[in-house]
Amino acid sequence: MTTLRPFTCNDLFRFNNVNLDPLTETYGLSFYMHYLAHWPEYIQVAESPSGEIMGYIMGKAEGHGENWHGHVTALTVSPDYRRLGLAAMLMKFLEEVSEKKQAYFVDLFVRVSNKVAITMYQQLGYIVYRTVLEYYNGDPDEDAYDMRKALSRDVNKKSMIPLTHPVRPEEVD
Amino acid sequence: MASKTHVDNTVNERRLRPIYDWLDNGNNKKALQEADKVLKKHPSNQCARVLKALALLRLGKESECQIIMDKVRSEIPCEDSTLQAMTICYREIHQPDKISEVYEAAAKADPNNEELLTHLFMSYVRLGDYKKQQQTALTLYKMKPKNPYYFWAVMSTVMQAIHSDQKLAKGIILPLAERMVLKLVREGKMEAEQEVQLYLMILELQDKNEEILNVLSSPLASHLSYVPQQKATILLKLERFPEAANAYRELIKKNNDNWAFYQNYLLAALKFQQPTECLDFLNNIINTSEKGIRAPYLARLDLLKRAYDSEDVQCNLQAVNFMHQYFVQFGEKGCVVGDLRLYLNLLTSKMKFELFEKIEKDVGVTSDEFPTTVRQMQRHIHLEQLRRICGFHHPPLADRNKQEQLIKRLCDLYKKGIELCPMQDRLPTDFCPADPYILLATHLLHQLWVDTSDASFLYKAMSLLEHGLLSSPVNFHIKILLVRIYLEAGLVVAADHTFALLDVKHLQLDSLGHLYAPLLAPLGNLPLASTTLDHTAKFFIANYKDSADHLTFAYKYGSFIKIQEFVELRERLDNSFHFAMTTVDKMLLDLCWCDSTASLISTLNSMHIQPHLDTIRWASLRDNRDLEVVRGWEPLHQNEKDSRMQEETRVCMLRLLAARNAILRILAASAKSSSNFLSQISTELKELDEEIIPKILQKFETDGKRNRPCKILVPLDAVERLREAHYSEQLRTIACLANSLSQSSYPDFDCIQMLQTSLCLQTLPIPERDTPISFKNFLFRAATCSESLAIISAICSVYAVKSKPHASQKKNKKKCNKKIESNMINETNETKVWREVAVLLSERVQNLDAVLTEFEKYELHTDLDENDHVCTTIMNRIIKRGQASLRQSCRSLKSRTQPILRLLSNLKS
Repeated sequence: MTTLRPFTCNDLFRFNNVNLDPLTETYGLSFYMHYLAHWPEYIQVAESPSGEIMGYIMGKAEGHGENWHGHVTALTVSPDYRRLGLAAMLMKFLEEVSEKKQAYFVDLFVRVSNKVAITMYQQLGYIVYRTVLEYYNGDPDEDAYDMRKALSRDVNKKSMIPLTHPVRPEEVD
Repeated sequence: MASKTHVDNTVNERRLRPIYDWLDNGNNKKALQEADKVLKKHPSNQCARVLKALALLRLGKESECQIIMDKVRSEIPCEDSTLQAMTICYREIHQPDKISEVYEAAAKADPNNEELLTHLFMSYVRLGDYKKQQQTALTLYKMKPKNPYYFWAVMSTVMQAIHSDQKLAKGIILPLAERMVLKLVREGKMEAEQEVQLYLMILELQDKNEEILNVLSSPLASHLSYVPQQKATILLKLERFPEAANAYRELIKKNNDNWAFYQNYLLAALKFQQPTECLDFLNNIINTSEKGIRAPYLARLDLLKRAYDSEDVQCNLQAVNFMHQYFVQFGEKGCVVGDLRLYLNLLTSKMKFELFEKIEKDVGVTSDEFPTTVRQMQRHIHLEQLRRICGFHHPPLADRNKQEQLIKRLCDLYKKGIELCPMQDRLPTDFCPADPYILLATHLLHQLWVDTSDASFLYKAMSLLEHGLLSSPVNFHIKILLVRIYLEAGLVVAADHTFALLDVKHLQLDSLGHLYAPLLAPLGNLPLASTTLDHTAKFFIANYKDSADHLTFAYKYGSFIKIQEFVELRERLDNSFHFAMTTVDKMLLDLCWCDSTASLISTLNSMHIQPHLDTIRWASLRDNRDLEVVRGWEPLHQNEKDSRMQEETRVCMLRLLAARNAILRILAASAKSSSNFLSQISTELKELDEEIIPKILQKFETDGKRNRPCKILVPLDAVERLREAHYSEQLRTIACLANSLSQSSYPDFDCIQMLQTSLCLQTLPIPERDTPISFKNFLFRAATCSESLAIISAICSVYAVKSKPHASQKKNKKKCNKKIESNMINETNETKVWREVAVLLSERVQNLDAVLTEFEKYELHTDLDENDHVCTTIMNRIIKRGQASLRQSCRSLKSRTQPILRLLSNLKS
């Protein structure tokens, strides 16, 4: 149970209970401001009845023609509020916004090692569309799965036909 | 750099590309050379000249940069890449108004250039000149009738309204904005969601709710999202309760777990319905929705809270039942405690006992048993947290004996608990489910430390938490408490080590800085303080530069709903308390390292401190601390009093800032020939210290004891520092010195006596050995002593140097009429007094140095027992880092004695 509402600048001062978790990256201010300025409708917070931030989602819409799609940039839930179905709820929200924008599909990138997340996305109807080699910098670099789910506009689910070969990060648009 | 893409002239681009590349790579020297090379062939190339100026600026040659920029500006450049480069340059040199000037001139020279006007508009956005924004946007719209330009003008009008007084806004400006939009509505030209949103914003600012409802029911609503939700909100605002309740009922049926819908439903429905009718609706939702939906269950409690008096027996009974049921269903979820906490005040203490008895029975772990599954353990933990919230860990329900038993029990529970969920069975990214046991135990240990001043409780907490961190390395709650406990014991290096694990950065430097940064220098670790303060200040300064860009993006993308929010964020960061405190602390720290009057004066000059002008905007200061990040389960107060005392601690920050800012201004005034300012500021500081500060400190006294650690969980940096500044007589002593110097050209008798006795120039006795100790108070005083000596020596030095030529001038004025001899006597007297002061201060410095030398040999004693759940690794770690903390604080304070002594030796002569 939450209140879903748009992310505001003031939340940047209060999202520590979510962001102190090592799985969640805290970006420079410009990153959040860029998303808030460009895609304010795509950034939502889940708030607990006591007013605490339980998690949030950030996304955007991009691409041309049949590649017009919603993208999940960040999805994160505080360790204290996991296993409550919050991630699914936030994803559903992002899919609805993308539907309204008449996008063809929603996609996201995830570390191939992040089994929990991958399973969750699969349960929500996402498939591994392709592997992006050495997408995440680190020691060593890690591959990413580009996962996708078709929206209603993509009637034949063309966007969900997986690629047979992995791609390099520079081939990803 | 944005300019890269905009060079339309290809020749220009080919030539200038290398300069851009060097600038982008941060190699400004190479950029300068490259620019000079281009300018040799094309000395008049404007863009190359500006890039050269930019390189010079980044090399620290501001005045050379300024000369080139002024010259180029006078030529009225119109070419895009030049203007872009100038924009960057003026932004970095903090002259955003020049950007507007440049574009104004260009737009005048080339009046039909859409792009130039767009840039001009954005330059006004950077300045926040709403009126000129509006004019420019309308000019643009006339030239090219595109909707975005028109709505830029509308939004600029709205911003004028927001930033002017209510009467003008509502009477003239907002109606104008509304008419502007209506014109396009009538012409059927509304195109985008943002435009309709802006229209609604204008109506909302005028409280025209009926009109909003009309828009939401009109064809315009097809542009909008969440129309039913917006309608419901407006119906509630219009107090059309039956319709609002109905609207929310529909929303709940579609989305039965959105908490806000339930709250608004109850708000509306209870205005015209019986509580039982609402209850029927909620029960109906419960019966028809899938399991795991929590909102309707919690809403029943919300209904009780809204509808009944807490004295009502019937309500009490029902609340117990609902809460019990809630726990039965959701007891193992992490949210259950926070959810129920909101309603615990509905219960009498008798009812609380009853509730916990029921829950205890369900959980099924008696007081000498242990949970056998993780789920059972989670329920058990949540019960214990609820009990703590209801005062079961505090007197009168738990005396000291009981508390110690509880700690032991919690430690045992933790030990058994981690066996239920060994590390290899868990995701490395998840917390260990047993962790809350040690968090609870730590809170109790902290409480015992506060009550008994026995530091062995602190060391026990350290070992517990360090232990927890080994098996649950991602748990930031453990880290936060550990930082708090280490600082409570005065161990900075250990705290620093733990704080680094939190990886606090960017905006968190502001919201979480209070956990750590403000206590570094007061606990004696000056190098760490210096880097941290620098790092923090850089964040704020860089951000201020960028924040105007974000605003321009919001206009560019038409995100009008975000514009006022962005302006507020900018204000919030710019006026951050933490920023202001960081700046003042950093300046004082830098000044305390100066070892000659020359370096003092040049440092003071570079800081632009104006003794007559207080540059801090006191009324606008913003408290950006995130206090909720610390998990505490503090007992609920009946009157909902804030157990973290946010407001009181904010006032402490305010007073501390005022006091330290006054010290800074006294220093600056002493260096300038302005003794009347000195008198004024010293009076301010005296009043602050004698009247204002004691009032706020009183609120933190427990049982009339003034120097006891505080019970509050969140760090109390400002409270503790203010206490120290006040009770050590630091503020009093500095005020007294400043006052004395404003009266005469050297310290008077009273002032010298004050210096002789002042506590802030003396250390506390070295703590007892072979027993666990918190070094906080000892280190606080040692650091105060060192800082006070540095500041007082600095004030005396700059003042003495300044008053010498001043005295000789006086002599000339008086000419030969007066006896030169008496002046001579005066002057020798003056020299004598200064020497006396210098000798006294040097003595104090040497005392401090001797004490620190002695303290450096101190061996930390933890009293930790290897049998007591503590493994040797952890014990050794605590001792090693603790010892390093003491050494570093000691050495860094000692390293400051040399510069002070050099300063004083000048004063002597």
